[in-house]
Amino acid sequence: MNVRPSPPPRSARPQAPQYDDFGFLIGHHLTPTLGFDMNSGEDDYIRMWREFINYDWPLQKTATLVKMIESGVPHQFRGTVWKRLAKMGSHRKPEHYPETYFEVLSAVGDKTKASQQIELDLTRTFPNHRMFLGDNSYRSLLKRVLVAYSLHNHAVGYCQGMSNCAAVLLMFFPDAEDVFWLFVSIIDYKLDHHFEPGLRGMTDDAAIFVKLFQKTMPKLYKHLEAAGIEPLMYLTPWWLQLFTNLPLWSATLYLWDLYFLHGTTALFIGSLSILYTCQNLLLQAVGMQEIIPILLSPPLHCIEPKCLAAAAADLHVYKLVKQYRSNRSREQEATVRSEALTRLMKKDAQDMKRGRPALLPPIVTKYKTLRSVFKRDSEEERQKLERRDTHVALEEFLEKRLLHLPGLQMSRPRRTTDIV
Amino acid sequence: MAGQMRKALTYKLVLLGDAGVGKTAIAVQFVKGQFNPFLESTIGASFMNQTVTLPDETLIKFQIWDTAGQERFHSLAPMYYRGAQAAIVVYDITNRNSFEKAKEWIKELQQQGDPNVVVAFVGNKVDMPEARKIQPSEGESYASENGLFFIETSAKTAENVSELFMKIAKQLPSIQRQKDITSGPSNPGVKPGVGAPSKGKGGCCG
Repeated sequence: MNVRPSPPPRSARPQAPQYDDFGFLIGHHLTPTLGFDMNSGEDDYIRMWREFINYDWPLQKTATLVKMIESGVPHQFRGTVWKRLAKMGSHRKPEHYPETYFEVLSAVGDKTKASQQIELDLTRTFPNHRMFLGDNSYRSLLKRVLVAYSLHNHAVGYCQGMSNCAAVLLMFFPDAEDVFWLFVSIIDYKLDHHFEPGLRGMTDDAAIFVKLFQKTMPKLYKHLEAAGIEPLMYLTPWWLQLFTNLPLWSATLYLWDLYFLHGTTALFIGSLSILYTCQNLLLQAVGMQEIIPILLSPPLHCIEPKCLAAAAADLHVYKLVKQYRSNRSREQEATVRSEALTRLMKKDAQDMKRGRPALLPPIVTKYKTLRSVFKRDSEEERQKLERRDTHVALEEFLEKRLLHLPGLQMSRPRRTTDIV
Repeated sequence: MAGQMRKALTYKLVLLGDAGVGKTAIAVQFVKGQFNPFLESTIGASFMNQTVTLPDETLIKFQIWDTAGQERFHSLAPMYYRGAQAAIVVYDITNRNSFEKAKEWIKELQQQGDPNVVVAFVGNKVDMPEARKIQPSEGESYASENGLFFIETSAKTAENVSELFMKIAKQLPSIQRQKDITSGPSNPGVKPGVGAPSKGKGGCCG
């Protein structure tokens, strides 16, 4: 009597899982088109890209390239374009690293503190993507990349969000060592301060972001502020996983294209563009409970790559970001240097009292007011250094010594004439 | 018509605890009524809304901030618990470290959080009794020493999850309800701003 004559309905039968064009379980990331909707000209556009790539090696950041990338990289060329923008040719490993660098680091396995957190995140990294479902071998590759990086850059180790970034690279490049070096190239000197304990790089950049946001969209800025929303509430999820949390994968990849092109400037471009395209919706939304969901999961039609590109163009955001960030970094660098010099001078004074040789060359200690020289804005002080040779000697000194002092690693090498 | 007449109160609630203890799973179980084994790691924090109805028909709207567990996100935590009227501090009953971490969160909330914040001390993953490292009595006694309420949950089986939020809702201070009556019922999204005097620049709406 329990026998049911009819077969179970079709929908109840176990079905093979279905994936979208990007490898996600259907319905997870809604991705109607690959790249941009180029209408009738699509074939020509792809042909143009193919020629461009064949011709230009490595890709130089010319106005043409910028324009082409902003118009959309055809998905089949993405891996190539990213690699070339990262200046990775056939030789993936920078010359000054030993041949077995990655092998040795990635073999460390479970012995580090970072690896515990990495292990915890492996099953929680794109669990709806075919490459990372179940006990897939790609998970072990992901682990090797992350463990190796945590040892390569000790100061940063592993930060949640990095696993998503490395996983995106694995979707394009199946070789773990390739991915490792590419990962190094996109994180080191760019995002590492964002990820390091204390997240200082991110909070610093968020402060610049606030200024840009206020300038470009003052009304929206006030609206969010009045609702008690602090920028880090949405910037942290956007930035620390490089926009991989957006519900539209083509938008994520578009912002990655920009990241390879512009470096961390792309974080600002992406964030301001999203806010701009969602502006009307956000202004209508009341209170945190309505606003935050829009920010953390923007409506798909608002973040289509072409909308983000149009927003960036409207806001002239690239130029603005460049301007704000360079001011800021000069300021920071000058402060860091002057602080370091002060420390040195103090140490020298102590050492000399104890009869030890001074670290600073005589020409530097001679000028007691030197500290202020490093403040770019103090023109008067600079004029006190009238003699050209002092200036030159100082520059040489800075090149040789100051750049290598602890505490100064955060400032990237730059011609000293920019600072003094 | 009942919908219009009901009092609706909005409260900010924050979930804190070590990485991987099941903060997101608890929130998702409460909000969507399901256990999702495919949850992604939380980066920074995620946000959810959910409403519960008290026996006296009062609607309690929770704005839930589900925070990231990794230690280096710690510096962001005050942004989420500042002005929060409720906090759920979660540990994993199969993991001693997470229990110690949870105690640290409690200390921090006592020192930095809102003085009237309702705190729940929650041992999660009771669906794994064979791996248990923290006995209920241990959590219970810590909670009672610190004036918190204690509950053990399973985000996987949903055991005690809605009870947890219901219990919080009942404990939310009644002074705020009185305040709401005076300010009128038709103010969705506007939080009763009682007991949150220590904010620099407006942690709440309105």
